[in-house]
Formats: sequence, C-alpha cells, structure tokens
Amino acid sequence: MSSHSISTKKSGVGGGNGSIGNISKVLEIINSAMKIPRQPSTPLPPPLIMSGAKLRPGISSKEITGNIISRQSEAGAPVGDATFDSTENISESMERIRVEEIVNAVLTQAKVDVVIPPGVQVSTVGIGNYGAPVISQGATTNMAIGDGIIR
Amino acid sequence: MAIIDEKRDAFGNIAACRSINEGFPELQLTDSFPNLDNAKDSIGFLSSMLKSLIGFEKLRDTLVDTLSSQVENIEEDIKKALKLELKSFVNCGVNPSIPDFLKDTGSGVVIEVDNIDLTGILKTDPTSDAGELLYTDASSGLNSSDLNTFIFNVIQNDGNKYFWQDQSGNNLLSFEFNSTLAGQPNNTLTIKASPYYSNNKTLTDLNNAFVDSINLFNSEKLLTNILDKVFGVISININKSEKQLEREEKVKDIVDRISSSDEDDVVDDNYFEFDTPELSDQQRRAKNRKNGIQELVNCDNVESSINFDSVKDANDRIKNASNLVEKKTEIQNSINNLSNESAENVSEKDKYTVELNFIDDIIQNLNTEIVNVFLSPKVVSILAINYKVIVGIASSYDGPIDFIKQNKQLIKELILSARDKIVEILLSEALKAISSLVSQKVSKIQTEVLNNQKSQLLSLVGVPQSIIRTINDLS
Repeated sequence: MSSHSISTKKSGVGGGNGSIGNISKVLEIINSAMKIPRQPSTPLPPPLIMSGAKLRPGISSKEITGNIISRQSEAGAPVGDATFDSTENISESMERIRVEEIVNAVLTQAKVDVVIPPGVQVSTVGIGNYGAPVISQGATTNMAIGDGIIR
Repeated sequence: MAIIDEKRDAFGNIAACRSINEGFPELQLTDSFPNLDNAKDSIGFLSSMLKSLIGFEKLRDTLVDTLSSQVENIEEDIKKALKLELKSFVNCGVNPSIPDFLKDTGSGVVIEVDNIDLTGILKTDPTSDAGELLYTDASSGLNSSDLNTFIFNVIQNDGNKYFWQDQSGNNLLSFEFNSTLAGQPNNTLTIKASPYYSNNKTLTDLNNAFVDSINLFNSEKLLTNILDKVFGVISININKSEKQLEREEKVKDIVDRISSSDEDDVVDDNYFEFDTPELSDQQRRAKNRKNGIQELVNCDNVESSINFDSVKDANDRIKNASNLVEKKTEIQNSINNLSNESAENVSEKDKYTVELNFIDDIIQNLNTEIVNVFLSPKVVSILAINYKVIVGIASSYDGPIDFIKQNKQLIKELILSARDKIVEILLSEALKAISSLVSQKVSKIQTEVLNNQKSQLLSLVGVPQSIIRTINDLS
C-alpha cells in the first residue's frame, strides 16, 4: 500500500461555494420560505371611531371567562362538574383566574400612546381687523402625542 | 444558531401552519423526531420533512420521478463533475500528455482485479439471476454497452486483449486479463490507451472520452441495488460474506460522513475511524443483510424482508418498459408492491408507517448507491489509471476504504455533487409543499384580519356583540 495521498484543487462543482446541498443552506432556504411579510391593515374611519367608541361597554373578565367556558366543548374539554362529585372544575377555575389577571393588568397597567401625524387638514375660525370672522385652512406641522387607557 | 434549533424552527413553522390551516397540529415536535438533532445529513432531514409534509403517495411520486426522469440529469451533472475532477487531478501532474507506459506501445497500467473490483461485482456472472440485477446489457458479452459486463467477459478470456470504444466507435482503451504475468501478482488487468488515443491525444482527452463512453446510472439498477443495501436481497443470492457486508456498511458510513460535510471541511483520518458502538452497528446491519432482513425499530423490532423474485420481477418490468410513461408506471407499481411486501409482518396500524419508511430508506440510500457506482470497475478503472499516472506506476491501494482515503478530495467532490443533485430534487418538492401551506396560512390570516375589521366596524356602530358573533359564525 502506498503512503501517498492525492488532493485535487477545489473545482467549485458539486459542493463548491454556493452549493445548496449542505444542511445550513437547506435550513436557510426552508426557514426563509416560511416567512412571508403581511400587508399592514387598513385604518378604521376616524369619525366612526369618534362616535362608535362611546357605545362600547368596556371589557369584563367575567364575560370573557363565560365565553371561553361556553366554547370549551369545541376543543373537547368538559364543561361544568366533569367528575359529577360536586367539586369545582379546576380547569374552569384556572380559566377564570387567568382571564381576571390578564384583564386586571390590561385595565390597571396598560397604557395607550396616541400619535397624530403632522399634515392633518385643519380649518380654523378667527376674528379679523373689523370684527368679521376669518376662516383659515391649513395643516398641522408637528406630531401630536396623547395618552390613553384601556377600559 | 445551532442546527438542531434551526431544524426545530423549520418543523415548528410547519406545525404552526398546519395548526392555522387545519385547526390542530398533526406534527409532533419532540427531540425524538428523526433528524431533529445536530446531524448535518441534509438528505435525511429533507426526506423526514417530506414524509410529514406530503405523505406516502406524493413522496413515492417524487421517488418515481427521480428514478425515471431525473436519472439522466443526475448522470449529466455527475459526469461533468467527474470530468472536471479528473482534469484537476491531471493538472496536479507536470505533463498532461498520455505517459509512455500507458500508450499502446508501453507496458500499460497493471492492476489486480481485486483493486479494480472494489464492490465485488465481478465475482457474479452477468447472465446469472443476480447478475441481471447488477449489470446492464448483460447478454451482449464483449459487445456490451456496460463496461462492467465488458470487463467481466475480458476476465473470462485469459491472455486476450479487447478494446473498449469511445462514443464515436474509436478504440479507446485495451483491457487484457492475465491469471499469471511475469513480475506481477496473479489475476491482473493490463489497461493501455488504444493506438488512436496514444497518438496526439492528451490524458484529459482520454479521460473525457472515457467518461462519455460509459453509462453510470440506470433506473432499475439503482432501485434494486438500494434494496440490496436495505434488505440484502442480492447479497443473500450471491452469498456475500459477512466480512464483505461489514466492509460495505463501513463504506456507507464513510460516504454518509463525507456527504454531511461542509464544502470547506477537510476530510481527515477521523472520517475513516469508528468507535466501538459504530462498529457494532455496522456489524448488526451486515448481519441483518446477511439474513435478508431489516429490523423495524419503530415497530417493536419486527423483521421485514423482500423476496429476491419480487426484486427481479421489478427489475425486468422496469427494464422492458418501452417509453418514459410506461417506465414511470412500472417503477410506481414496483414500489407499491415492494413496500406492501416490506410491511407484511407488521400490524395493520403500522403498515402506513412501514411503507412510508420504505420510501424514506430508498431516498436515504440513493447517495450511497450512486457512490457505489463510483466504486464499481467502470469508474474505478479510469480513476485507477489516473492515480497510477499521478502517484506512480508502482503505487497501490488496499480495498475500497483505502481507495477513498487516497482519493478523498476527488471522491468528496463526486459525493457532494451527487448529494447536491438529490437535495435539489427533494428541496424543490419540500418548497412546493411549504409554499402551498404558507399561502393557505396567509389566506386564513387575511380572512381573519378582514373579519376582525368588520367586527370592529359593527361594534362601532352599536351592533351588539352577540349579533356580531352570529354574523362571524355565518361568514
């Protein structure tokens, strides 16, 4: 047996640079194929928000818990006294605690920052030199920032 | 990011898409999922992913298409790589012309038959039952278009010289078998360039003409030889020794390791060394092949097997197909019949898994079988000639593993070339399935966003929540 060992120079064919065969490249291609950017959602009409927001009742942890429990059967989970021994259904109790804690955090700790972009069309009325009303039209030049809370 | 994390991301994303599209995830994502590990085996990973993505029928169709329509493309790409590697190999030497000893007037390259027959194929008569599964154009003898068949017949005619021709019908190389030759070991083949190539042709011309003159792959032979690697179907028939089968399993593991390497990895001695558990596994697989069985580890280690006659029948049907459509049908029927046969011993509930794994086994062994063709006399003969020209006429190697070791860069490039082609086919199928899943997901999400917006608009005009819910349920 000879002790020689032959090496050829890299040809770039088969497994050369840019080869799609190695696992890192395969995973990169597959994971990229999974990611498709979504379009931004269409904004709601501002007048509708202004008038409609007043009609909203506010969130209730009890109502949310009730809705979840009433839909439990859709996922095959038992509703009510599942063991027929008059004991409380633990998963339903947990659901109530979970929702109460989430709603409590949202109501007492969450904060909404509102930003009104510059360029909003405005129409103003002022008084002219002879006391006559003067109407002017223009656009806001700065951003307006406001605070809000969730109810 | 570690490979296992990237794999988990890929399988996790698929599970998430399924969950959104179908309601509940069908894919279990645990560390015990095959190929959810740090292994760099891209073919194994893609095959496992396809199993869960597209299921038995589509995976079978992918395999059918690969074995029928894609074989020619694979052959073309690998021949291109082989030519480039041989050219690069020759450029290592100072003089690219055919050396005097290789010319028809020289002493020729004298190689022991065992060193050209690294897979042991020449021990089987091409016209025997098993031979018909190993050789192509087996009945044409010295006029065969299969160089392996040609060399077998040269060996049957001790002391006679025969020419292998190029595609244009010019004599290319002469082969002469001598059971005894002065100053040489017994049973040698003497290979020389023909007079036509000895004059005014370079070694690269000879190499290129040689590569063009041989057929590397063939649909039915790829299938039947892979079945031998999995079930030992042919090995039993030709009574291969356990030692020979262990050596084949070792070669398989080396090929798998090289196939999992990165482009810039150096193939060092570690690729050829195995620890005790790995050696035990090779022995176990060799023993199973010797007994003609495969242990189904996911089905309580039930033994699965395939009958030699079923494989021969599949070989004959595919071989006799007169056109591509017929060939596809025959390959599909053969895979259906053979996968059914492999699942005969398992319970009804496990049959689907076993049939799916049958396809997976064939895909995972495709690369090994392609490399096995590189180690058969029809390719080794030209590699051995170039090896002798570059390293020296007295140089030698000891068996297939030493041959791979001494030609590791060349073999690595061929293995990676074959791997890339198979990955290209599998990846294309995976991407088709993924794009369908992702587009369904995007469509579902967009519908949900629109429904949410509609609900918000309705709530803002004072529609009670119960009515909004009813409207949403109806849409």
